[in-house]
Amino acid sequence: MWRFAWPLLALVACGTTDDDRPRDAQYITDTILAPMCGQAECHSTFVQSDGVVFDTYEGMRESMIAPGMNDANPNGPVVGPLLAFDDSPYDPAAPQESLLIQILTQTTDPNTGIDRMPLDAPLANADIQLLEAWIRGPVADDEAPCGALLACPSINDQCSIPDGETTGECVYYPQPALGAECNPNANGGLACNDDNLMMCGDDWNFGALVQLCAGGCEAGACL
Amino acid sequence: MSVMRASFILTVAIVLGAAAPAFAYPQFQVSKDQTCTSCHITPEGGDLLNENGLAYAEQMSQLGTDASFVNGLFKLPSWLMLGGDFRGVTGYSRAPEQYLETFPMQADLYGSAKFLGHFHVNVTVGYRPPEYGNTAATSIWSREHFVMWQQHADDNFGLFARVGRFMPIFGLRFAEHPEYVRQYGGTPLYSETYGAAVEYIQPQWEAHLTGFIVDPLIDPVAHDNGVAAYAEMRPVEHTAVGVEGMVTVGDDCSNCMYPHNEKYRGGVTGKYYVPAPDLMIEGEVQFVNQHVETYGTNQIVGTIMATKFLPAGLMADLALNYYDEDLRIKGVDREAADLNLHWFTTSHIELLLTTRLELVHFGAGFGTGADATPGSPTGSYVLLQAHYRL
Repeated sequence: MWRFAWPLLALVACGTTDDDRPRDAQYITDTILAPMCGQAECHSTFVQSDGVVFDTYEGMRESMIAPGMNDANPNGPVVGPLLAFDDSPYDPAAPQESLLIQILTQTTDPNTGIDRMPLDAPLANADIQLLEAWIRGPVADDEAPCGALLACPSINDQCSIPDGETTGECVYYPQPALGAECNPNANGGLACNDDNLMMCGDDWNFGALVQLCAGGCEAGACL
Repeated sequence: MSVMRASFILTVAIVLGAAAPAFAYPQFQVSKDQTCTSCHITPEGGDLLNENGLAYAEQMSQLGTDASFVNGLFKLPSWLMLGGDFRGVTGYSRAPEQYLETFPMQADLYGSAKFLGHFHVNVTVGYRPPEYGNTAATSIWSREHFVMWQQHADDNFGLFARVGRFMPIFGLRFAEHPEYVRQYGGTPLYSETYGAAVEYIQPQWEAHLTGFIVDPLIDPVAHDNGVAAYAEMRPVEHTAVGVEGMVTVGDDCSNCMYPHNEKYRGGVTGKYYVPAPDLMIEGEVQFVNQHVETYGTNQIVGTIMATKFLPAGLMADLALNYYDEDLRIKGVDREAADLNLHWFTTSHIELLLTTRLELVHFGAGFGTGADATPGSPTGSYVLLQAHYRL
């Protein structure tokens, strides 16, 4: 009788082919990364295997842009940042080149020093493609409506809200280079983007320009 | 082998460990006796056995040794019960990287003290993966500790109330945490947390209601506050039908764009024992609606298991698991088939062979672009586990 069981289940697995899921960091964290990668023994806030956290949105964002640890060899190479590209800045145009996607998809002996993740079974291709789309940035979602309770679906978009309004539209805004991490909870939310001192938004992207630093900007302050 | 590779082998070993903290064997309910409290001292099963449970442990094992604490070497006072579970595992996994692994899996000690006739204090202390940055203080931890009141001091039925740290009763409590209804079904490994439960148990039916919160003392595994309910009816001998529901609200994020992550779980369980072939069939299916602010996702998770009781202390399980993380999206389902062989050699020693074959979208292949590998199995393991019950 068991041979009939899986075909019956297959009938259930008939979803649509159009993947319209939000290309959004929190959605991806809560529905894909947390259950598949953020289990207690692995990348949970609790264990933080190799310093990577996938069971909370904030942990996921931090893991994407900050170097992780190396549990087995504290003096060895660090893991990540997961959105690093061979030491070059973040490049949303080539998500498959990112360390994150390489780790998720490698099927041959990896040159990353890390085995394919998740270790027990891979993510579904559709989920990997969603992650790639999230990294790539949704040009099609540019100008999508947004507001306090409706965030832009991409890491590369930020919500532009006109003065006096409560809603606005998403504006494509490339993720800053990894060296210019923008943390709204640090340094009063101020960070440098080239010579611009900028306020970090709640979405961890650069927000409003605070000051153009004539003498340069460093560590969240004009020189 | 690089040190980093060794680290990941250790990680996969923990991931694939067939059973970390031991729960009950739901295979025994309605086949051996009607309720969990028939054999265990708490409504959730697992941990300590009562006299009836000890008798079954002795009867089921091949050699039928004394099942009491340390083979009856120590005489404990009537108000005190002690016990423990120790597990280690060795085996092979392929996913597709191949590993040989040997590792300790569980070291838990249990204590239960009865006082004022109707009250118990239950404490479980043991090893668990340490908290990041706090290794020294958290490698040994009390996974469960609670005060329990029961209506009838010397009976296994009636009203129970518990307050403390424990796993809410919800669905089938398989010992093997990789079973999907545990892994994706609301009771993942180490997700015990603080809560309060009211439970009523009779031979013909039982009901459990638990409210729980995010663990305020240590980085939580489950980042949710919620309520879980489970009710089970046993209308005729050897048959049980259950319904379940759970609502959880995420509490993991103070800086999120979306403040709410809500999950609504509803499901059914079934257990049916056929005496003539000595065969137990049980299953659970859950429908899950998850909301990340404005976007809703419908999921399904299920496990069905057939258990054959064999002579000489042997028991074989065949389980099929199914999980679809979004019913609207094609290709995000996964399936797993498990074959487990338990051998209860003595009433204290169990050897367990666990095997799994896991597929994504029925083996539709994996990877994108030039790295795609069509049609290959995506995960498998064969693990031999040794389990000693103190």
